[in-house]
Amino acid sequence: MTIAARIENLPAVLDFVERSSREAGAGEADVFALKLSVEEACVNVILHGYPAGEPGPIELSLCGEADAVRVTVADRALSFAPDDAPEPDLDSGWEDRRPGGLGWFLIRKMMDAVEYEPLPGGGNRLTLIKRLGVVEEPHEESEHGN
Amino acid sequence: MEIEIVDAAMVTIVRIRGSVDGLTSDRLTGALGEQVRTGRTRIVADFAGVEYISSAGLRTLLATLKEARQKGGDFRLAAVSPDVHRVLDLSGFTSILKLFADVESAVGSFGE
Repeated sequence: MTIAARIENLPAVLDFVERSSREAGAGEADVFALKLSVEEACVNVILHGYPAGEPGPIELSLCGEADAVRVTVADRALSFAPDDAPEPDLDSGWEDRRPGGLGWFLIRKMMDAVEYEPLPGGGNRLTLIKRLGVVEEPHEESEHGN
Repeated sequence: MEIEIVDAAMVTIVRIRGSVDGLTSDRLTGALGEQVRTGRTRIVADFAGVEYISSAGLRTLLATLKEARQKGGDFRLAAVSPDVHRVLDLSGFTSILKLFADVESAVGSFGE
């Protein structure tokens, strides 16, 4: 599907990901992870990728593979470098906690692979891969002192 | 997303249903902030009906938590689903937010 990069179009994106990933065999937790990751990617493009008031296209595709779902998010927006995203603040007390950087952090935590490539002529393509039905080790929770 | 404000004697219960995402979170931030600014600083968010949250929703929770505590109250969550709990856990929110199994125990915790 292709949408204009407006926040009002987010429900259509989430519906698309939910419906398509269920059809591809994803269970509840995997559907949640895919919705979250695609939202974070699209909101970044909507808020930071295109100039304010000039929303360009976001092209989404989702395909089921043998034991995984692959989503691509392509745009014609400013280039970005996911590795330059700020580190999230996971440990400060409530008074000092900063909310930035959680979007990319959650994408990386939720997905099994994240691939980024700039498009020739401008724009970006993000590929998100989620293996289905993988039960994670609980070490992630203690990793950040929770 | 639906938001229902339930005025209890000592604690305000805010019942939320649906998706707390990049489109809806501003409305929730406004509704919760209005409670705090009108002096209802002890708030329990009933999350039983929240099926989804993204980083935009986490911003709402953090903003409300800070505002309520700065005014001497607190913002606590009840009945969080496993998927939403996982996002809170990964994001380090379970170390700063108080979570309860149900609304009754969350409300009761303010009297302890």
